[in-house]
Amino acid sequence: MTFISYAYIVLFAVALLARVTIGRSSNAKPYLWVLLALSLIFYGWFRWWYLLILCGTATVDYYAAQLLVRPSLTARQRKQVLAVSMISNLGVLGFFKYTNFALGSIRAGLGYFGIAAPWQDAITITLPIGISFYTFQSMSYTIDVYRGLLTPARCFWRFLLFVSFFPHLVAGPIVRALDYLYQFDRPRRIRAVVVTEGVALIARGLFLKMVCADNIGTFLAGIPAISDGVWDKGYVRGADSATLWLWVALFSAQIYCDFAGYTDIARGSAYLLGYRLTVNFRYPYIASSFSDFWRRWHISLSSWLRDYLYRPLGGNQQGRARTYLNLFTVMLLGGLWHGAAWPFVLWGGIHGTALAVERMLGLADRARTPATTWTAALAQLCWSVPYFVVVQLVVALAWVYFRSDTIAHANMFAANLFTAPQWTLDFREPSLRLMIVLLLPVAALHLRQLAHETARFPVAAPFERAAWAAMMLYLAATVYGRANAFIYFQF
Amino acid sequence: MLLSISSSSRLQIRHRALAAGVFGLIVFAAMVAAGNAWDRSFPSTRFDTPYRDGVPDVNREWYLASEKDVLDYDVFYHGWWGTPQALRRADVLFLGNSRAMYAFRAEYFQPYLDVLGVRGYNMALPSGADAFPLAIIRKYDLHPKVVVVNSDAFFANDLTSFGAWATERSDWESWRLYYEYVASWTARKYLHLLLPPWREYLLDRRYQVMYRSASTGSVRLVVGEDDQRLMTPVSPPPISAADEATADGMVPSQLRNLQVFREEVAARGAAMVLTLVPYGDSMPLVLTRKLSAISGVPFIEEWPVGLEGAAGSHMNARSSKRFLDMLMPRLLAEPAVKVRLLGQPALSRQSSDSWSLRP
Repeated sequence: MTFISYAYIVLFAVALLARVTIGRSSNAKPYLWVLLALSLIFYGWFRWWYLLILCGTATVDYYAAQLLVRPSLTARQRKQVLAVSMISNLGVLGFFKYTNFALGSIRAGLGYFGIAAPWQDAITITLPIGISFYTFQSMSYTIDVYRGLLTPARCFWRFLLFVSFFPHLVAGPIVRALDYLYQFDRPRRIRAVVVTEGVALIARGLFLKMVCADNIGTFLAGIPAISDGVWDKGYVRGADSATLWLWVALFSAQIYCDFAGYTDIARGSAYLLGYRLTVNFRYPYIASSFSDFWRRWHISLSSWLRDYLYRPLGGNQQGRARTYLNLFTVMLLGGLWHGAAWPFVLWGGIHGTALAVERMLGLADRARTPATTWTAALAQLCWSVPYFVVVQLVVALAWVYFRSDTIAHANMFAANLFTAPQWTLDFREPSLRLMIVLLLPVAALHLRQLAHETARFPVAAPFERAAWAAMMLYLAATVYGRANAFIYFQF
Repeated sequence: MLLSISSSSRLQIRHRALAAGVFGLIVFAAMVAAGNAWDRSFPSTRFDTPYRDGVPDVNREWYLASEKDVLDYDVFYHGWWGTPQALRRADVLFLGNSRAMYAFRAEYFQPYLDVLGVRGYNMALPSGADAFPLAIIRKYDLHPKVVVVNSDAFFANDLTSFGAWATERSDWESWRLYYEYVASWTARKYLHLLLPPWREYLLDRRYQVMYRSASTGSVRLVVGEDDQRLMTPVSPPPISAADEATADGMVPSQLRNLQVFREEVAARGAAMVLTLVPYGDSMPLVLTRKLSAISGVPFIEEWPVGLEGAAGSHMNARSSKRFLDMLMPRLLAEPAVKVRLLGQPALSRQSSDSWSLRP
């Protein structure tokens, strides 16, 4: 089930009904049971057997955590228990997500040396939706219990609800047990502030997804078997660079609106149901450096990678060379997490390289250092504005690899971007004009945040937020695009 | 230091939030009113969208066949709306692509069949080629008496993308997808009576919503039925050397596929007849003539001048009537058809009661 569906409206209405009837107190077990049942319906709605995988990995992690806190266990045994949990999660993820990628890559590698692989075709494996998200959630739980940061969940069904809670189940944010489990016992009174905030988040999410992301997505990708999109024209040698830069800008906006819109709906839905999910996006296109970008984009993933991969690898504590290597490795794996295809790996590699180079040259620190005199401020402006442009251009260029189906196509697209423009865009075309208009709200959201962060421009007051929410809801009901699946569902 | 909020401030925050919520509702209502006022004051921005008064809801007789996406393949393959039963009752099955969907309208072919006491069914599909109808014929074990094929790009041994997706989907996935579309269409149909569909106006683009009869396969367009574009300015159409060459290149593979199709149809006791829904392109005409000449499958060729329709090749109702008024008498006079419809009973078929709605 997706958020943009009529089935979800029905499911969410049932959840809300439960919230206002049996879910008003802090420890309302029936309410939690209803949420669990609805979460399982939400996930099983795609394919019922997805539930077996979800419940299977959750069972292993739940019992692993219970074992980890037994005082009778030696350090070695605790490590073994943790290993079982990790292997079960990564094994499931690896099988469903990376089997064909591995087989295909080995076959290509053997072919390079003139050796024919004994297998020819890819195996038909359906990737369960959201598996990358919930396995990471589940893993963070056992690791935190192992590290002694967390007491295990009291009972299995509570843990299962943490893993399967429908607002965050299939596309995040990647919730940590530390931030979530305690909320089961927290008072859950219904307050006007919470309701208006939740509705405003949902309205913004619907606007970003249905108006911006869906319209741009259809324009770029077309409708399967009915119409062609424009993005693929960038794979042809000699395509107009000016046009392609616009497509890149549109895709940058689309992926932000798609994912941030999803997160807003998820957070708003959870909020209305009495739970708080972590913020996942903080206006990434105003990032002043690459490290700043990763503090603003898909925050729950980048912080997960930082805490459970970068730091265990040694982080920045084992010398400069190792730090750069760690950054690169983590981003490479981050790219692979997104999708089992080489363009994603390259996308991660671009970001990993950029982060390592930035750290090597100390560029991020320079961008962050506050200026004390006006001359220093002017000098910093002269430095930070061009660097901001460089950062955003590299981010945009990396999206080309994220969006393209093969590296060869992405390379061709990228090469076309740096040719002389031919200015073939026809601005009389209504759909193109609409696309340009759709870039404006994304730009406006980011500019307002920039003004807030740099010039202390006030955040929106409740009445202003309410007016914006009403307008966004109106536009979502009248300018919605053709429904496209959320991009991050495929991960 | 612990920060605490006094109960009066808390109350103030709550009241402000409540007031903001009410203000948001007022803004939304104001936008609805302003949008409607604009929509009514400046009718020049309005054009035919599918959201109009009087468009019927999807019902047992008229199902949703196309709404931004092609849904027909799922309806037939997964047997929604009782299509398997209707197909099993059909004596004459009309097949082909979207041109055939618009050309073979039951309201115009059925009167001819009524005289003989037989039923027709239009199972032509958008982008329709041979493999999908063949799959349907086998899946539901259909035994029509006559199969009329619009041979335009039909014998390509192609399931088409829509057909491949429909066959890959489980019944559950298909049901979910199909009824999500129905819910979406129904909700928007009512929503846009209140809120103008600004996107359609902004893009100056309308899209088709098509209903289809569950009992006859006839089509009904909610909008865009006719832009009165001339489809057949002359008859017969001029045939170029390039048409001949292209057709010659296609004959071997198409003939192979035609034979396979004919054998399957013949094994079920049906006669096969070729025809061609006329439109601007003359190459299919050349190809069909060649296929008919080599295979011996009868070809009924009618190419009336002045047929009109939408999208360049989709006949309007008037042209469909003209076309069928010429085609049907010739079809029924065809000896093989006559034998099947008048002289010889169809091969035994199972009672329709033994078939469930969902296979």
